[in-house]
Amino acid sequence: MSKHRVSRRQFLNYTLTGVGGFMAAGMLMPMLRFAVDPVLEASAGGNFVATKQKVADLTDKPTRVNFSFTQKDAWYESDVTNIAWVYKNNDGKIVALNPTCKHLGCTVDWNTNKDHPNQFFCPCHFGRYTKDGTNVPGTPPLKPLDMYEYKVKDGILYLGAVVPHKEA
Amino acid sequence: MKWVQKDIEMFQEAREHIDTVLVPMIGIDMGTGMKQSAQMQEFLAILASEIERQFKGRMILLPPFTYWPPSDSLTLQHSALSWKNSILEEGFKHVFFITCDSLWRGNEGELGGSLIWIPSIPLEGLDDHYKRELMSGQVSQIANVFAQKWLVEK
Ligand code: FES
Repeated sequence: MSKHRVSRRQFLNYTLTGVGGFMAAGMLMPMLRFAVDPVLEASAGGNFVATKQKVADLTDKPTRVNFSFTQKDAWYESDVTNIAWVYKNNDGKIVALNPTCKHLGCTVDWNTNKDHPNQFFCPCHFGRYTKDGTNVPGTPPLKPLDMYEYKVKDGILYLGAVVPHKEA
Repeated sequence: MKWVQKDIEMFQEAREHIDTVLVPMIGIDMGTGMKQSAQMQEFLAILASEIERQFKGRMILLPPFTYWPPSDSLTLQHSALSWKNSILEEGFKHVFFITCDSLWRGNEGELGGSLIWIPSIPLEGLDDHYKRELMSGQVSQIANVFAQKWLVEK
């Protein structure tokens, strides 16, 4: 009988430690963004997130737009910040690109390589993409950059799931 | 890449593309400097994970090199150096140590150019937006160090 009681106490102990750990993680982690599989992200974020970007301010030059949302995985609920490069194409349509390099997942930047202006450049293995996200042949990436789904509400840009590149 | 199974599997498939290792260095202090030690750890963990995110495809982020305040810093330098050498022996080309601990300032010894020292910024009480701005500023400075190294060798 007493054996039974001890094991119950142990059980409680374990449980409480677990909860404590969770809470500690909650306090430490909110700023950490996890690099997540775009696919996972899509299903987690199924809906659209408001950015601070006014659609009227978009030009034909890619602009960096940050947007944050809360994401849950098995352990943490964390604030994730994603980056999008957004511009209006010749037809005035909005294009929102995901900067995760299709080679091995580094973050690409716009117009940072002097030798190749007006392209997306990946510092890791010098992958390049043209403005519309198409990978430049002869550089490591074999696929174009993914895109975000988007919508416009009250003049504000909303971004959603990551989807494979499609012609704008 | 992080020190987790999924990323390491990816590493093994693409090994020839990953030539850089990043090691955070964290001093533990449970005395008067306890709070500061925790704060540095917090800052560095975020910073390192941001760097990892940006350079995922070329870099492995190792678990931190952790130590108690050393009685003499030479011993500490040596053990850091032996980390570096072991990593180089595994075929990596670049090893970077990153730390906020002022112990290492002007005390790089043979670690030389592998050591990146940055002052830690207390994040407590800052609003989220500002925190992010601040971090991304730090990250891009450090990012430059890597990008330069890589460009030079190209
Ligand atoms: S990860 Fe972008 S070129 Fe390799």
